Amino acid sequence: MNDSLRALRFIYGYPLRYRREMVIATVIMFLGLLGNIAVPLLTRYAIDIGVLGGESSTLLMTSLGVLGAGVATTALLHIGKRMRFTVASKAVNDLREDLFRKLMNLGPADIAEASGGRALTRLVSDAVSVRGLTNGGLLELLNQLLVTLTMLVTALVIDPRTTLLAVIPMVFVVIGNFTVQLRLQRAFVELKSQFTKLLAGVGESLANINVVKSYGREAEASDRLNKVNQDHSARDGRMKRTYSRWEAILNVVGGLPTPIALWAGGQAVLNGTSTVGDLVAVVALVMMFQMSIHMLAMHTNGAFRSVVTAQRLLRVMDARSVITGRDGATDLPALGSLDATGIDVDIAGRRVLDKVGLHIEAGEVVALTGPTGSGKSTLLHVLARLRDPDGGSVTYDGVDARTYAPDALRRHIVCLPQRQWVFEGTLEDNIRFARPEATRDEVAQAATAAGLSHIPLDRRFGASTLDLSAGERQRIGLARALLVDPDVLLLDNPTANLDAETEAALLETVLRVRNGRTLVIASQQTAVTSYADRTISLAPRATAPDAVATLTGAAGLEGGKDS
Amino acid sequence: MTAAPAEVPLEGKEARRTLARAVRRFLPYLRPHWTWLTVATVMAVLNSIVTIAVMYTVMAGIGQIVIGDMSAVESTAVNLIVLTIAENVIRIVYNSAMIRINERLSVTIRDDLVKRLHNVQLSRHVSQASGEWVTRVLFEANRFRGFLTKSLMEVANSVIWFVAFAVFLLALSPTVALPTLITIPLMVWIAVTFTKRLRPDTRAQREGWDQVVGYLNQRIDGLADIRSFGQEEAVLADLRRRSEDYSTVHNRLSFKRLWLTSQLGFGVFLALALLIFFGGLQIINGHQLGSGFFFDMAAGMMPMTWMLMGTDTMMASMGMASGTALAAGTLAAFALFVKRMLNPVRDLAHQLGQTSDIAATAQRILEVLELEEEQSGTGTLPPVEGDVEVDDVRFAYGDGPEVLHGVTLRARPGEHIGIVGTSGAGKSTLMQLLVRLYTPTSGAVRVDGHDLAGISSASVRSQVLLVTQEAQLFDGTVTENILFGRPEATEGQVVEAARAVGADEVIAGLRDGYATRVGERGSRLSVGERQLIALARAMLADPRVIVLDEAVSSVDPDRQRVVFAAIRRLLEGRTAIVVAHWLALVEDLDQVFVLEDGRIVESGRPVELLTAGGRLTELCQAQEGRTRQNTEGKDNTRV
Repeated sequence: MNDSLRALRFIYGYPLRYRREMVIATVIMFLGLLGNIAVPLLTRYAIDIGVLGGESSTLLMTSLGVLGAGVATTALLHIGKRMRFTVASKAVNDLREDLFRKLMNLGPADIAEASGGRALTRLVSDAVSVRGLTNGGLLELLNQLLVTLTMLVTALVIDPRTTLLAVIPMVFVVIGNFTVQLRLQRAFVELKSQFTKLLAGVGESLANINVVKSYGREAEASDRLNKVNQDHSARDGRMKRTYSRWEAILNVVGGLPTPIALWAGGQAVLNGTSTVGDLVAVVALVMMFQMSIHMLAMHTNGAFRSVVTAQRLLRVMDARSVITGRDGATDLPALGSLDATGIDVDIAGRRVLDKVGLHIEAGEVVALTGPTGSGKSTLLHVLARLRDPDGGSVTYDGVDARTYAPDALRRHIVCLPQRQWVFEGTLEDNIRFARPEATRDEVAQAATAAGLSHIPLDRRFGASTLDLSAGERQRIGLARALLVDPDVLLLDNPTANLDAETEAALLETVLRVRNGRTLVIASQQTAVTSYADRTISLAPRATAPDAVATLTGAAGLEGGKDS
Repeated sequence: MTAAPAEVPLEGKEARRTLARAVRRFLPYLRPHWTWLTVATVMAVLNSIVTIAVMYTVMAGIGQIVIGDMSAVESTAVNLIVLTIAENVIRIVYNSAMIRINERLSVTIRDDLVKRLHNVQLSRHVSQASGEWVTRVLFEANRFRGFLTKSLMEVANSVIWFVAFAVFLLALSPTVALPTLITIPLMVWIAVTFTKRLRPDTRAQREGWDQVVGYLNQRIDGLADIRSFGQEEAVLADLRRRSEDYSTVHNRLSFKRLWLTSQLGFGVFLALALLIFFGGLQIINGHQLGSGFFFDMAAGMMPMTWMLMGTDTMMASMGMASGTALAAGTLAAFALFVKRMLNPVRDLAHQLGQTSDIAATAQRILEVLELEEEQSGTGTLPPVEGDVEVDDVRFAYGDGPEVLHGVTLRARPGEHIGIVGTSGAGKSTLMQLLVRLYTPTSGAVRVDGHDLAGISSASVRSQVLLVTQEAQLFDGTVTENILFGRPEATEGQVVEAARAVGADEVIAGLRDGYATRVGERGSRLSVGERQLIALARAMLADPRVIVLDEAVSSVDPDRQRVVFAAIRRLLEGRTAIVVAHWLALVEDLDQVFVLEDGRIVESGRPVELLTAGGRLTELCQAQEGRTRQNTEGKDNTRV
């Protein structure tokens, strides 16, 4: 329950950042909804004095009154909704920005939320759900509640006995609704998780399509998904059926106020204690009250569902960032030697680096080798402070890395990931991304130095960029690094997907444009060692967590010098 | 996941045409459910009748109260309760029918989309943009299903209600009815003209949205790079700017839609004002409500209605003679129900506003369903020895440039041949032709003399297997993943296959042995473990010919030795065509073909080629530089 409240507070925090606008909009809409209540009152007047009293001037007056109420209600609701729409758009943007900021500080290996499809779902559909919450949800619930109460009070003033009798069944409806909602909530969560399973299943199957085809198992693969699909649809149907039955029962009970009002109100008219107009007004108010309760149930429903979305979003927001320490503010004039001492890193409950230490001199070329899973990439990230270690520290020229301002650090130490990111845009856009303020000449120089002179700077890449070879992709990364011209360049497995010829060519380019900078190249291939002054190899790590203890301790490092 | 390829926003005629095409395409899906559709339609008609009966009851009840008839008060209340129960029984039946239809429809539509995606030509975009297709299969299909059932039924309901309501009104009292009825066409007209004007905004909104999604998708892809270069703030600023641009477009559309909603909302007040004024005026002036004919008809219908509800009320109804009483009752009932009467107009307008959106959705689904299916021959391949012959094969992807320019090679039964070349030489294409993922533009691929073009792909692949090193597993147990090679195999055979490639020990070392769940795409296992399981799977499939994509493997040398040993065991006694990127296996091969720019430039026994010093030698030297850590002898800085 506490979790749900926290989730609600989190998600409603976004529209409520614009508290003033939201309060004004809510008040305006409340006034607008009051206009609806004016209508039965005017009708009452028209029937009693106009029709039954035979005064035609009253009819004109009430007609105009209804039109006036119509104009006021429509205008106020329009203005209120418009304000909310504006806030809703802002709230979505704010939430998306916060999510994205958080996502940038999560390691994909640490938490599944940070990986492609899921991250996109969070940023796109989950973030958009705030729009619905701003326009409806709890705030609308509050409004509806106020209006419902006003209706009740008005009806009570006109004919207390009839109103009280008519309202009795609604108590059961309200209680019933909450019970059903709570029950449905659970089914809804299950349904959502099953949908995610289906989503993952289809994604997996399509990503593995060539295996499916190689074995001629197209039919089995689609059947497998179909089973999940059927199960999901059946469950969905079951939930809707249950809801439909409950809804009908509640509707029958909720339908009672109208006959009760007619019966009790009719008696009052016949007894002479109230007029036909009173009767019509009370019946109208009771009918509106019924509708209001229905709306209340709907908005409660929306609020319940928003908890699920909010909790999902909180999973991202609560995930541990890879940067755990605070950012320093000191500028960094230049970066010389690198030291790491006693580095421990745990990822998803697994110790990836254990008491690792190393020293790298300014201007050294170091090969960092080791098998898959030995923690090479993680070590590079720690060295560049793309991640803070769980234990130990990194120092630059003897000063703790956390002392420096992050943007200053990025100008002096760059760590190129294994796969280079190429986005939609020109080659120039793609290279300039590393240093947006660079001139075109500087970009061109970096491209040429990285061996990309055969591709025009204005060449546009599509989203899929299938027209780039693996080697060219790596060179785009290199061009970016050259544009920044850092003192230290860390390359994470740059030749992983290259054939031998391309690998050699790439490494030669990297060394040719080294320009005295410190270079650390991580690779599984021993070939890189021939380019390095020194090789550091990371010992393999066992995959089973219980085996870790036996392999730790000295298993951290073996340093060695190679010709 | 990329933005939809060739997204053309649909408008006007084109949108309607696409929608019509999609509806035609999907109508057969509804056919098996016609009984339930009929039930739903009947329920919609009954619902309209009951709603009218409710109005009538209230109307008559108030009329009688005006006269002062006490007995009528109770019967009115009872009748209303009965009608409410009837209304909800009808609703349950209606909902059950719709839920059932929806349940079946979402299964069949999704199933067809999934099947189609599995059966299409293995073009690169299906696997590369799998996210985009997933969206189409799940979300867009859902939307369209909603349109087929909910929207169409809602439109039908609205129409049924209009007809029922108009008949009722005209029968009862055209003078009271007309002012109200006038507002209906007015509202529909406003909705239609307004919706037309929304089109450019709808389109702008859709395009803007696709851009935001595309942008986010690409940035997620580049998270690591963004951090590496410290460009977080720049990207966030860019994101904010784009989001705000989109908000402008989005708000413009929602403001306009809101304006429509407001106008329609005002329509209700307008109808009520007209009703009070004109209806009331006529009553005061003592006009008999309704023309003679209609009134008589209405009076004639009343007893029939009441008969269904009890004699008490019938008697009361007969006694209701006062015109004023009926008039007051009618006016009151109309005032009470005016909102309910006009709501279907609002729903209809809402549906009209969605057409261009739905057309775009329909377009995306149709694109999936109209993807070209893999063309497959019909013949079956008899059990083969494994004599593979590639005869002057030329090939181009679709209308693209030719990538293979007349390739000829042969592997006799049991022979192991290698295809070597730099990336982009056409190795992967040749590989796909060998297992009939594509058919050559000209020339032929033959196995034991049978041209594969005439043979069904399933039949080809039961004997000719493509094994990639990029080991792809499915969420499930190790056993299930191996069984994928031959689903009918026993567990003993699974273990045997694993043992045969030397994977048994590794699997036994996993947490739950063969029952270990491998995670989505095998994510819980290491690369080496995945490869061994994939090889065991191939072993179990026991094909005659193996086309092995020996891609650069990303495992460490120790593991690689284990994997290579497994590969050797797998190839033993079978014809093998090894597409070698990594040349460790070259010396084991009987024959090597060097492929360059879609042509075979060199072929022969590996030993001979290596001593002759041709292209293979060059490639191997580069390779040696990699393995023997020898910096000398490499001067190729070609990019």
